[in-house]
Amino acid sequence: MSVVLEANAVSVSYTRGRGVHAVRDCSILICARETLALVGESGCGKSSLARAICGIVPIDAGSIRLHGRDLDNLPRAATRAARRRIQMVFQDPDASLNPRHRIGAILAEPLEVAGERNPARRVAELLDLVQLDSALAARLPRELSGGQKQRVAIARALAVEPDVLVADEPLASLDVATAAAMIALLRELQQRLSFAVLFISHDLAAVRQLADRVAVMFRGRIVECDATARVLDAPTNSYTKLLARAVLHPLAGKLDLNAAEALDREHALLHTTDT
Amino acid sequence: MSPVLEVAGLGIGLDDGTPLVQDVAFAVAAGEVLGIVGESGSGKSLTAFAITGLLPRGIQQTAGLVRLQGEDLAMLTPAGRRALAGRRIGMVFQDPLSSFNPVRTVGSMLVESAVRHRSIRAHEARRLGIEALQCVRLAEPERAFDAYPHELSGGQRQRAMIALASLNEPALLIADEPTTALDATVQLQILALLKRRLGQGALLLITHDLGVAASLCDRLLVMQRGRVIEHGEPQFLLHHAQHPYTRRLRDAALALHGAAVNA
Repeated sequence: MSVVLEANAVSVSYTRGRGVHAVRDCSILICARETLALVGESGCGKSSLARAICGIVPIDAGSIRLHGRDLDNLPRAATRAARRRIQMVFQDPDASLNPRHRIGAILAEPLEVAGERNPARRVAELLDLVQLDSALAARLPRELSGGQKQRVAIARALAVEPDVLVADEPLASLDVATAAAMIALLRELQQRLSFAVLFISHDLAAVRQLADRVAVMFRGRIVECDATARVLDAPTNSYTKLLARAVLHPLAGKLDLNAAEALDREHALLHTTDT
Repeated sequence: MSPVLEVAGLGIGLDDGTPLVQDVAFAVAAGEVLGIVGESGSGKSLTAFAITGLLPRGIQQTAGLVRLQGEDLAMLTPAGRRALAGRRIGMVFQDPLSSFNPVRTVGSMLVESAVRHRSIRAHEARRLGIEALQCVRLAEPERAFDAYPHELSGGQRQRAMIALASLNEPALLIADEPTTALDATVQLQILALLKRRLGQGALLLITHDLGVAASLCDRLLVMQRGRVIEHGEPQFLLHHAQHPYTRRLRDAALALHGAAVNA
């Protein structure tokens, strides 16, 4: 399989204050049509790594390569063009869709930037692609449900036919049934359009449904990366083991408070151990 | 024993008469956890807001009765009803960052609540506040006391919110999606903490996550389009769901979890 995106030994730090390393020496690669999930607790660096891959935050060390080309070592115009091959979808569609623009205009914008001659026809195609009625083009974001808005965000990201879709907690604001429909949609779109997905999530249940492979981050480092079932069902890293134990299955019955607190202590211990 | 909270025939509607919640009835006993599950728009959060008397503008209670420790809350003045929050009802929301006052330290909110509801002095309130932060297992309670909400992590903020909600030992704790924004290990810690802090209080847990609901609740209500469509003990309900909507919620949740069941 051909590697589409590669992050090599990437470090990201936020120097405001104390020079804290958010991402330390992280390497991942994603192939065409593949979904790689990036999981870990809040603050572990998964969103920082995703933002670095999208060029939103600068990297301190390492490289990001798209089809083998180092994105920080290209002429400026080529970098911009290459960056457009990587598109992002965020958790909260309300924050990423301009509330004053109609859906049609929101979808037309990236098309116009890319020099599309007939944006109106493409807007209808994009709405159809995410299984929305083309009549929604005339609506404002607030007239849509949460699930519909997230579909619009996906359609906008796919407007330029990217090679990589980076989705940062795209299901976190959705109901279970809406999230399940969104997962089915993403899988279908990926089959049809062959893009690669970097799926950032704290929801292991959604990860199981969507990801071919999982990379687990803990305190800025990737501590485990392998096929989804292997990582979730037979984890080897101590943090991943804790994470797998913490998942609440609906049929598993009541929470054992002592077990939960034992897990809490082990988790705290991992955080104080030197890495 | 009479229940801590009793809701009967509750109706909620828009000012123009459009019904949003109809004929909701349940009771929660001391030490009991009752869960309300359903999708957004099912009326589960509105039900909680109606209990606290904090319905958004343009929405009002149109029918029914809410009794807290046997007292009909309709008999209270609006100010008296608002004063329930913090004293007899503690509330924990999904995102403490948006429900905490961003320009106030955690400690100043704890002190204000203790002083207002317990008529004690500020230095005594400070001691109580730091104790409360210890009880929710914040690693450095004194640092958290002086911190602004944005200086804490999501999990630490939710612990601080539980400290604030349970500070005055309320009879009823309402938690609305308390762990939705948190990752699995922190979620587990927060749920265990809610259960521990509950003591003899009653907990009303509102969630869309059946895993969370089943882990903590003694009984579950399933709401759809403003009505309770099914209720029962969680495992019985999940195994023997009668209503197609409950089955759909369950099947969606189980599909998300794949084959893995953690014992």
